[in-house]
Amino acid sequence: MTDAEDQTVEERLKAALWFSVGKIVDEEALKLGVNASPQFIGALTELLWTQIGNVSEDLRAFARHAGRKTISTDDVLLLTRRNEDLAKVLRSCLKR
Amino acid sequence: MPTAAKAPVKRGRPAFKPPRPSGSKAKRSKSTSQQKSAAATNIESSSGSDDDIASHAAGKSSDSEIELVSSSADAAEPSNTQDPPPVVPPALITRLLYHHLEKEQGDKMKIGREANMLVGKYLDTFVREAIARAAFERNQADEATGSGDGFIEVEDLEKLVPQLLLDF
Repeated sequence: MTDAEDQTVEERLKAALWFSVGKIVDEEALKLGVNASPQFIGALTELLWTQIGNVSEDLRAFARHAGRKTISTDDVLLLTRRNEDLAKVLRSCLKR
Repeated sequence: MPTAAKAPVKRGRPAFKPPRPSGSKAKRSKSTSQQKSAAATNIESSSGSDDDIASHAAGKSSDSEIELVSSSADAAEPSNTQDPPPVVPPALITRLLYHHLEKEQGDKMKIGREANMLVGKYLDTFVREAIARAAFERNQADEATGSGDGFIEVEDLEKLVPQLLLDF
């Protein structure tokens, strides 16, 4: 894949992410009784993009350390090792 | 200041307020009890327009050799007339993860269907937590200055990001 192609793919992925984040922000803002500026949504998308990058990096490292080639739910739960409440949320999500 | 009384400003898209399915809420307690971000846990499917975008993005690079261990997203598209709470669609998450994983050299990684779902939940919680904290920051700032229009701005996000990233 060329660099230019790679860039357009990235742009499209970011646009798709922006769209999803925008919908979540709309819903949450309505619930919380606030409004969100478009700049906020953009910044949040960028933050999420970076977070996804970090998360995928971690997941890959975890799976490799376990000698696996497939990222499992254990790896995702290991992501939350420093946040007990988040781990609880994910575990309850997993049980259902 | 009664923030709840304010009417939401119309943006380009029509306001989207789906009915919340009962008994599908998970709250993060303790550390964030003030902010009460009620994370919706219903992430099994998403609305059609959402998926269009995701599959659009996915279709662009069909030449990638990676594959989903068990194809999750395209399988689970039930015809639900009731709108579920908006989430990042699982297919998009898969694409995004692989986009980042691909950048690295070395052996190829796959991701399980369950794990992908869990990452979705993780990111969903992340976003909703960020919004809740931003709203909290905005209310604090508005109370301090005695003015403000209740619009969450980028500066609110800037204030909460360090702690948010430590928590996630």
